[in-house]
Amino acid sequence: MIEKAIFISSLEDFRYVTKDYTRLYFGVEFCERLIPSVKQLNNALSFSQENKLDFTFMTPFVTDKGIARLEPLFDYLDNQVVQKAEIIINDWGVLNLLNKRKWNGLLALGRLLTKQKRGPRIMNIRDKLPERALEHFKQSNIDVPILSEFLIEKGIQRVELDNLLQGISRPDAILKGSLYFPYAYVTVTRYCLSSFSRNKSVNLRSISPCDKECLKHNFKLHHKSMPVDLLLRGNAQFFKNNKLPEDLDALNIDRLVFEPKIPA
Amino acid sequence: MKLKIPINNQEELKNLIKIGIDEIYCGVLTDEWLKSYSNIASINRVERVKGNLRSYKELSEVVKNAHNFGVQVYLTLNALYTPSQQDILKKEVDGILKTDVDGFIICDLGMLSLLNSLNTGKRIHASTGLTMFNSQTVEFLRKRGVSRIVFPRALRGEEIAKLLNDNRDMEFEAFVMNGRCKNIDGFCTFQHGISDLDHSTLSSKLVYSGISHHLQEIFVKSPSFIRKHIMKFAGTQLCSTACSIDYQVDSDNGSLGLSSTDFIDNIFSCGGCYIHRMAKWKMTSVKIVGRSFPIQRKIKDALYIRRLIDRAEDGDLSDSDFKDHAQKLYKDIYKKPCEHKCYYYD
Repeated sequence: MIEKAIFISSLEDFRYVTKDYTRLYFGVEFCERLIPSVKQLNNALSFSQENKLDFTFMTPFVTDKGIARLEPLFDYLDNQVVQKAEIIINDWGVLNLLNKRKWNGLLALGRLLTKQKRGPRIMNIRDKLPERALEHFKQSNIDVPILSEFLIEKGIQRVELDNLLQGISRPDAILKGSLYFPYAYVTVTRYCLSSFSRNKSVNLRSISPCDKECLKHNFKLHHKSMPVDLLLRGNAQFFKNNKLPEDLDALNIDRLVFEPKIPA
Repeated sequence: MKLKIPINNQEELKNLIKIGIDEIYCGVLTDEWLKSYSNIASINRVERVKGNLRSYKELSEVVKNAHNFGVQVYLTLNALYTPSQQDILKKEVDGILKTDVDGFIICDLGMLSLLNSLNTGKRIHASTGLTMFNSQTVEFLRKRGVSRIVFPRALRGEEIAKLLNDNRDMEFEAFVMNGRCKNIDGFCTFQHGISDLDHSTLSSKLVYSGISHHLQEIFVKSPSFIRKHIMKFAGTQLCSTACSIDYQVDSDNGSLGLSSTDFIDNIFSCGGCYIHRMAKWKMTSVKIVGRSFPIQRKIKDALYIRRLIDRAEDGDLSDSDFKDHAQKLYKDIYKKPCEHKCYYYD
């Protein structure tokens, strides 16, 4: 049975949540400036309880400042007795922190750490690659037994995966997987191009002041060498892939995560 | 503060050792690996065959010569290794352990677990690919036996200084020259080296003739309209990395201006002016990028950074005086003025 989840980053996006879903993902993956407040997290958790949805809190990669912003949110989640949240980590330091805090809810390894090769140009050369190389590009290091076992030891129970254009291969995968669609992330920067689009006077190569342009605008990047257009939101780039793998069970994937918008 | 530089053959070592280097790093791309996975899935993330040593015998010789001059050798095992690679990977590790390398540069926690299980006794450096942005990650890696961490490129000076100050029991390394991509190395999932896959292509011919490096230097500095014409001519062939693509950019709001130029990286960035601060902050080591670069470029880079480290360690210049000194030295060595393509900003 495939669990259906929906991933939103702001409270305004509750409107996308329908009865099709049994789990709500809330939070951000790519920018610590967008980490929600305790109040926003409380609203999201209350919404999920009112709608009988399981709850997943998404965390981004973080500097020490970001860690300081996450700690009160973890305090809040620690104190929840009615509903225990799942937390997705995209930073090894956050895993270290949660292990030290003896977090006893569910833990999942986020897309930034599951290390699939997502660059669309693999589609241009797949016929030229040796068979083993193509198989390699469908896999992730997290399915190597020695790493899976280490992750399990650290409390990770599932891994978050993107829907690769070249296909996915997970032979003998130990960890259950969640598959995101339709947007797969490709790359991320701290030199935010969306921010730069408004602050042209600021040097592109420095970390710019932020007016949260990412919440209002998207960009499409097109080039003939790129098999699909890239979609830029904020500091991250994505591609869209609506075609889901046929046999999710064979990939040890038991959850689909729908992104109604390009994630922040 | 130590200087770590890249090499890809024995001759380079002979040329660079005279400059006064402390550590070298290199990768080995064997025929067996190349045949099974191609250069695109390189064992060490340098996809250009020319940027690698070609056997562990060659590595042994490099290590022996380097050790004769008191220089340490670090082997890059900084790719992400999937289940399909494990059998060959174990054979490669067997070959590696017969050499006397001083340590490994890794970015895959699976590789870290494998090396720890083998009790190699070698030092382990966490590559920038391990994405350390906070002190919690430093602790996480320290507990797993990592002795040095390479900073991500996307940190501000103040963030680097704080991490150094808060974690004095860890060695740290920072890039100071070349290879500065705006994307976060450990979180970027684009494939590199695509144009080098087919050796019959125009760009591969250029790569293997050694001309491509100079063309790349010209390409990244060219105005947008010239790049567009080059791209039209060369198509995908010149775009070995997705960060060099001249995209057509469409915004959902016409008032926001992003042009194709904004996506192009200048990989030839320089952190010369920052050496002074890094020495003050007690950075363990600074690193020059460019395993595939021509030896002439490597010599200039190593000479420039070596002289700056020596001057910084004298400790008698203010930040602004050091900056002036770095820019004058740049002009002397590279025969052109500083281009203000800075590696670090405050």
